[in-house]
Amino acid sequence: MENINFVLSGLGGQGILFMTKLLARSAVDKGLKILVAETHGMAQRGGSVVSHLRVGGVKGSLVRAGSAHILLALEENEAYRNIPFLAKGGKLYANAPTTSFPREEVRPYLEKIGVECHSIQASDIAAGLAAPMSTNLALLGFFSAFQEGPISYDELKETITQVSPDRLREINLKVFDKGFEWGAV
Amino acid sequence: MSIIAQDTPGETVLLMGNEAIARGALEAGIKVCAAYPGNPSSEITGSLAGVADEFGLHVEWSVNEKVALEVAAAASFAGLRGLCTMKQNGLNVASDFLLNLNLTGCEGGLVLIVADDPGALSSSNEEDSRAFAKLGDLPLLEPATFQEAKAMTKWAFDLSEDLGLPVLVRTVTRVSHARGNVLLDELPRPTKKPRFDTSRPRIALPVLTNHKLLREKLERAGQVFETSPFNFYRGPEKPELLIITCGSGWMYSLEAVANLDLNERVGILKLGTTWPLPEQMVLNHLSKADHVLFVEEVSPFLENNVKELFAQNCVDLGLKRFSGKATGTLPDIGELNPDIVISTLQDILEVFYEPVSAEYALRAKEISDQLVPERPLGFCAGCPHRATYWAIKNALALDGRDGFVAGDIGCYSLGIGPSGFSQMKTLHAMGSGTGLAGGFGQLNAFGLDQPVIAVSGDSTFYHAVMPALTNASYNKSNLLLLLLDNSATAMTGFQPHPGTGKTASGQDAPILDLEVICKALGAQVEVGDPFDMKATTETILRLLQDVEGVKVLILRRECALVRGRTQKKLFNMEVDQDLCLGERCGCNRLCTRVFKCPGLIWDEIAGRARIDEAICTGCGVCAEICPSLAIRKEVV
Repeated sequence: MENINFVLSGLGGQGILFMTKLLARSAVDKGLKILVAETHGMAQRGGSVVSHLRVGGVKGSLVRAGSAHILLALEENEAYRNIPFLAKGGKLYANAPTTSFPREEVRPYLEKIGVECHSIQASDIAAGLAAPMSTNLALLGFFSAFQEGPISYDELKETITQVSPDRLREINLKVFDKGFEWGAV
Repeated sequence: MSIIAQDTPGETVLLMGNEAIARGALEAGIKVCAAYPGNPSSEITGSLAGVADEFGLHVEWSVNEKVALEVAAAASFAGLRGLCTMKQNGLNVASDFLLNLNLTGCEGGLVLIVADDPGALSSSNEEDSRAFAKLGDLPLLEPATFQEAKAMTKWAFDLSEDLGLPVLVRTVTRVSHARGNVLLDELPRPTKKPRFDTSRPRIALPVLTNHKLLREKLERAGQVFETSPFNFYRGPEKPELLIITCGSGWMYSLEAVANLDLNERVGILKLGTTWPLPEQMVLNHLSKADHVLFVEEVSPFLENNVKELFAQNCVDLGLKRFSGKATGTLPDIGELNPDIVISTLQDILEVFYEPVSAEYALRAKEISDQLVPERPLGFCAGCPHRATYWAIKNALALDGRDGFVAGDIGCYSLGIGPSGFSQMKTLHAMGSGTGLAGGFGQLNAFGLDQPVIAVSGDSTFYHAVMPALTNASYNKSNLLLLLLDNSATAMTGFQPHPGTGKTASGQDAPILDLEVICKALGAQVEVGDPFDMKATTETILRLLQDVEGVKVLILRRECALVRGRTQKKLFNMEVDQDLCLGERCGCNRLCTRVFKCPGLIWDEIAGRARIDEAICTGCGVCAEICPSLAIRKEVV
């Protein structure tokens, strides 16, 4: 398998680290080699939070500019902020309004480098299920519907079942599935 | 069950670098671990605390790093294995003890892990803690991968016992806060009874005898390092360029060489034991290359030490060219990354490579810079610190003498920026705010008429503010300290401290009451609620203007993140959009431009403020700030 680079971005408190953990655990559980780099500490207080996840026989944990195959963004501006990471032909999945994403100013560039963009109103979906803190799972479910990258919907679902705290397992799975449904349409 | 406690030797699991270090310590059979939290080190002791009962360990959050090292050293003196962890600033605090401990040596393995924060992503300084290894003649190890983080930690205990010296392990953010696959080994369950050998007192005197002994131990470490499996070379027999690297620099170098397809031209000497140097090994590789590049985080430590070694041997080695941070080839501030190493190799070896075309890359950067707002760090929604700084701002404005806040280390350090209305004008080490404020208080006698307010969090108070407060009382300074008691070491991940009534492993402990302590240290103490901003403003003003001497105002409210988990909202908040005048109001959108709680947002369509229900914590504070009384609170 070729190496796959993920960049996951959002704001402090949106659950970037948990989303990264779900992808990472799923990869390790199926025997893939991975490296992850995370943002912790003061940088999380209201700031931009970014995780890098690299799957395959890679050397370092940081994804380089122009080399991310998949960018998952929990917030629209954080998607734009991390565009320089995207490789030619990369895929961008964002929690953003489906009608206006990506913004006009960005489109020519993304088209030129062949980036495919998909957006979902993940916050609304999570809020609709009375779980506003699970926006990350809605986006992850949405992403899993496109069958991009080395980790499948079933594998992610299994990991969510395993690592969610008891009180959140059911709702986590529900939000994840709802996101998946949006993507599978 | 915690993943670090998994008793499945031979299995590969996903571990964060800090968890791998904790696992290494478990595999080494430690009995005691003591630490003060700080990014990027906190998860090491945090994860050991979680398995303390299961493995029969004593794991503690000590009040500061010096005490932590003393606690771990006591275990070592009594023959057990002890671990101590901290961030780079912490080593400054612990160094006074460390630079005596090197002379008295140790019995059971004693390992000190220091996590450096290149780029100061979550620190008040960018410091290279490796200088302390050289300063204190102590052996230093630097893991480059997660597997090494575990293996090196484990081996460090053997080395420590072999040498009779504490061993320093320096990690960096990209090793500590990264995750990768780690192969598990056996977990021993040592049952050794501790005993202090009174025939072998741990006293640095006579200093010269012990200093000589220390030098001999260090020399022996150098010999051991010559054959360490943590040092190895990959590359051609005679490389055009030799990279000497350690820690995360190794990953960046490997990736750069692979991406530029330079395997035939560049060799990489990866060192895991960086002080003392494995001299013969380094000299051997120096003899085979004419140009050497150093890739390491923060300061040119390896670079200068290798150059020193070269200088002693230059007659045999001949002319060499050295490149690194000291020569300006690599940036000597900030964090490295693979791109920096790639572009450095491109320049040195005149090769060309680009993953995306430069034009595209530039365009992408322009777009993201143009479109994306800067996000200054800020207090969380419902954070008591925002309310506290609002009261400080108002009190200092009413006072009118150009007063300021002497700051300290914690979430409330964000008082330097817009989230704390830029009230904080000094920021240094743990406890320095109160120390400085006590000093400013002495200047009143010379005519300084600006009021100074020191702030400190609860954990910081126990760490280093107590001596500063004692000093201010004894030396009759004029001081106002606001103790921002949010019942947590919030910035580093909610570790308990002596005010919380819990130990690291979750057992009950006596609460050391801040009020009682401050009174005993000679301060006049008052207690207030930061959410009552009007009363807090008045109290601050009164204490500044009418009360002489050392005063402590304890402002008590739990951290918003803790409240969110354990308590329901105090109030339902609502903006009455009929009362809100929007841009027409003379307030210039005080609520969303200045106060700026993330729970209060600007409704573009209505042209009015609005509560963001998903984010608002219902603290009720913002109801006080609206001049039109449009923000309403209703008791839940």
